[in-house]
Amino acid sequence: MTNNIVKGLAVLLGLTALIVGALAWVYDATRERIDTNRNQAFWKEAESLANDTTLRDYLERPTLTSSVRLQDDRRLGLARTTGYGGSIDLMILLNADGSIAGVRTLRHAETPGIGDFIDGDTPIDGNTPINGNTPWMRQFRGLDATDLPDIDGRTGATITVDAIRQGVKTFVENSGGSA
Amino acid sequence: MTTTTAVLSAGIIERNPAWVQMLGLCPLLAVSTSVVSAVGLSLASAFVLLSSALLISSLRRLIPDFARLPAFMLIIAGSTTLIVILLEAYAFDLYSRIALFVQIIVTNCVILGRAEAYASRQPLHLAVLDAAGTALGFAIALVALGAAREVIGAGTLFARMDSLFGPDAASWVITVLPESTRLLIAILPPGAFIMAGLLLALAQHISRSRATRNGKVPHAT
Repeated sequence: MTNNIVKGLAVLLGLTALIVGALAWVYDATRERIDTNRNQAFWKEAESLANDTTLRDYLERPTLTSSVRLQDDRRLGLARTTGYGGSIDLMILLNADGSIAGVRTLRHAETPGIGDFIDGDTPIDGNTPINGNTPWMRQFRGLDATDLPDIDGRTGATITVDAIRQGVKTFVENSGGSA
Repeated sequence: MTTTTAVLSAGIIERNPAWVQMLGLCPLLAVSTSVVSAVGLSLASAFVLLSSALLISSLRRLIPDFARLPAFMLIIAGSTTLIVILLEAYAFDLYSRIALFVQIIVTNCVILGRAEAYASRQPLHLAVLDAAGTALGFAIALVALGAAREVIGAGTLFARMDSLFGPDAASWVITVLPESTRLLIAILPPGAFIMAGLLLALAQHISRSRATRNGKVPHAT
């Protein structure tokens, strides 16, 4: 009996060591590739938003809810807001005068077909993505924080619309943009 | 039928994990919104099924009875984590869309069920065959549901296959229905239940008519 327990524990320990070892090795081998993937996805979106393919050469990736200054004094930042399906991560570009140059959705879990008009990848509702952007998201171009109540709503997606509007507003105010 | 084909076809048809055993319905309903997600999850599930069957069957004499479940969970969780890392490294686009459901493969009862009922009691080659059959059966259900929901809900078939098979696959998309005839509900959760119910009814119908033809009286269910 005791023998059996010792044997079982030994097997479990050995198995754990084997699996942890294998995972550690794969993690180490793929870490660089995964980082590259994440970075590329980020800079692809940022450079298309800023219409400038040199960003990745000189900018540091901003952390969440912070912004970095571009060479032409525009500012690129990340914001998080809470939508209907959980948090929504936004990438926001401000012009040098503090007005909004553009907004992109990086990550969201809104209802497909109802709340996902904020995501340029999804052509379901007839919004052909242009530069990974949707017509609804393009409304933000050129607005100040005070103009945000003018953003069009969407039937059935009030919470999503409010979330984006609030996320952008908070970001602009915190970045000392024109309010 | 030889043992080989018998074991394989049992997993695919007689004991199909989705429409006979009704296991793994959570990923089946959640990820079947399009063919590409369905194929992605099928591949990931197949990887976990095969690698856990392989390990569990070859270690079955070493693992004492009381340590069975923790050992199985360890192996299943390990292979799931492995496929998560590999997907993020080599199919990043797809990963960012189905990541959550790949991670919860670990709780998919199909996998623990086959480990407990089959792989832990059978020799290696049979365990691997059984896992392959089960994986194939699950994949057929998942992709069929994904295709039906994508056609009815989005009007397309094979959209965004490039996120799994590289840039060349971007042109595989077929537009089946014009925009005005798309039924959005098919992609939403209620549509998943309706379509899965229809798929189930179809599978039942086929298996009953086969049983009748072979002279057996079908079970009243």
